[in-house]
Amino acid sequence: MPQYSATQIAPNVWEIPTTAKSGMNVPARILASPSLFSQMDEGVFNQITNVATLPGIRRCAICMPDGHWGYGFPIGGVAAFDPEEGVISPGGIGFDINCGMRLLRTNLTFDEVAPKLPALMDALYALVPCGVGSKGVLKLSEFEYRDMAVCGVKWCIDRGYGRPKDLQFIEENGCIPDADPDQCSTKAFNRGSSQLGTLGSGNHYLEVQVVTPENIFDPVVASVFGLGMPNQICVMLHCGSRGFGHQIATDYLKVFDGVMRRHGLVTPDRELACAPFTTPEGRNYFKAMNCAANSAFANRQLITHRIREGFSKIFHKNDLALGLEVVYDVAHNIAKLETYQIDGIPTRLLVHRKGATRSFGPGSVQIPEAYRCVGQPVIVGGSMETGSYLLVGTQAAMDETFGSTLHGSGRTMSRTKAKQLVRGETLRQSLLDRGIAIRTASLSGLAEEAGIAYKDISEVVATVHDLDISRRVVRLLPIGNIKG
Amino acid sequence: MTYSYEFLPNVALADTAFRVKADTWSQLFTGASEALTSVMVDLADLEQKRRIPIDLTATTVDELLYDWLSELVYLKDAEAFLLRSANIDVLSGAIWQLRGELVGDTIEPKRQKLGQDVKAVTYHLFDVMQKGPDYIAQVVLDI
Repeated sequence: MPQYSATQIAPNVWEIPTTAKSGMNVPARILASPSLFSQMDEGVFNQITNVATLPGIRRCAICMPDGHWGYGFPIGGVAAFDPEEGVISPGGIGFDINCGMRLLRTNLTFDEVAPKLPALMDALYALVPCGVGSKGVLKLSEFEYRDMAVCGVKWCIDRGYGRPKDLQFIEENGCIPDADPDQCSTKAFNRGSSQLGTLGSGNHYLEVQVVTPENIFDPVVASVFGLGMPNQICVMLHCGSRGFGHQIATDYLKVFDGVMRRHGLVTPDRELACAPFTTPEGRNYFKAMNCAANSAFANRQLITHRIREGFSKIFHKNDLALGLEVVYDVAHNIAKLETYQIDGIPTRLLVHRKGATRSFGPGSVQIPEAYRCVGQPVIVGGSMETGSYLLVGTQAAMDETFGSTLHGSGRTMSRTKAKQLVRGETLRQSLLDRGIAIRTASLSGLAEEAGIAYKDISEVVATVHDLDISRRVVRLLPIGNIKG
Repeated sequence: MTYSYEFLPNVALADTAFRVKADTWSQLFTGASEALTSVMVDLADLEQKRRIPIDLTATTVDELLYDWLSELVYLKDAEAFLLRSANIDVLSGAIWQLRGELVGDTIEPKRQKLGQDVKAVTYHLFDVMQKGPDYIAQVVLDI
């Protein structure tokens, strides 16, 4: 049980007061059902109260129900800072800048795909490199990489890797402005140059999924998102900015060490290294981070292109005929300038989301026109054993959580511990017996991602649904998974 | 000269934490690099095919260890290089220095049992110390 005293202030909302830790500027709030709250690891309580000590933080530091012990912020952490008085922190974004989710739909059904699933998985595994040291088909010069980091997905579309329509269904249309490649190091470009179109490893995956009729919770919203055909096949992607983003975060953590000394800033965790957003270093990190965010959108776009090639090869139809369309693409490791009502006044804030997803409600001009009547799709990745969810954003999220909600199911045990309990080959066979085909670059990596290492995703999703910071639309069940 | 390392099962759930103990600074750095590499590959599968000179300086020992491990993560992505053995000396003083040679292999999934890709070395719970005759470091890697 946590050492911090938290008070339940509303159903599924627990608050730790500013008196709990020296230096807290705002309370910390943990969003969780009583059961999930009791399972929260100690790291969450330490880290979310650490976040509450950062300068310029507004209203409260928030941890989502999928929260767990990370570095700097907990995974599932959300915090909003005054851009004039507050800070920007790579530890509130993660090394994997714009790690995020993309969901594709098809017009294929389970019955059409099942007989060809092994061949489809082999084709996708061959087309989408994954694992340690994997390289994509493109090798970009620094000049080309700079262009891509500014233009994002448009860079891909201009070169034939996708369709212009794809742009409409990506957060920020796949291109965040204020991206300046001059603020990225040569090392960052070197690390990223061969990695576009690769998955990476860890919890990153490409999953073929099915939406069965009993897993459609809101048929109206599902229909707006192009889902609802019985036993419809979808493809879900989870990956980020690869080595380019990792190096940018590494570079600026060291830069911020010096900035903090100069400004007399002290944080409880060195991984919360930060810089005032008004300083040149803070601004430069923001501009470099936006480059990494654009490269992550481009990475998911190139993988989408390869997925379309794979489906076309196996089903002997072009991807248009297969209805392989982007439902949505959304970041869950990022900082963005957004406007929220604070004490009734529209206020510009720098919102950090680390393992948390934007959840904009109906009417927002920042979501695709086709979705404005219902809200933004929220893609929630689960374990390869238990499935994933598609949710929709709400006005309550705008009012209560800086337009944010959860991003996944959340871990309950470390990778080291999971490997002690599960053998990769046994797990692969067990999944196959349950109708889930696995392709992986690492069996030990597979074991680390076993379902027992994660919280019950349905309970986690039910919590945000009940809080109304996003609402259930459909659940997607895995039938094939590629893990790095 | 010896070193040993252990992975910590109850720290940083999404990532990987390890603690290294050695009897010199050089061995501590060597042990930490081996722990890092063992997350990414079965060390027995690595051959000693490539040699890369290295020379790093820092103002503190913890900064030097952070830079050392981060450099190995960088070489994994930029050069597809995985370290098999480190012939290095760590020199203390007003400026800390690590110099020597990296010996290792190119990533080739067909002949190597690969593990998890390390994204970065974090500062979370990062600790380097000398305690009596022991040199100790704790590191959390972002996976």
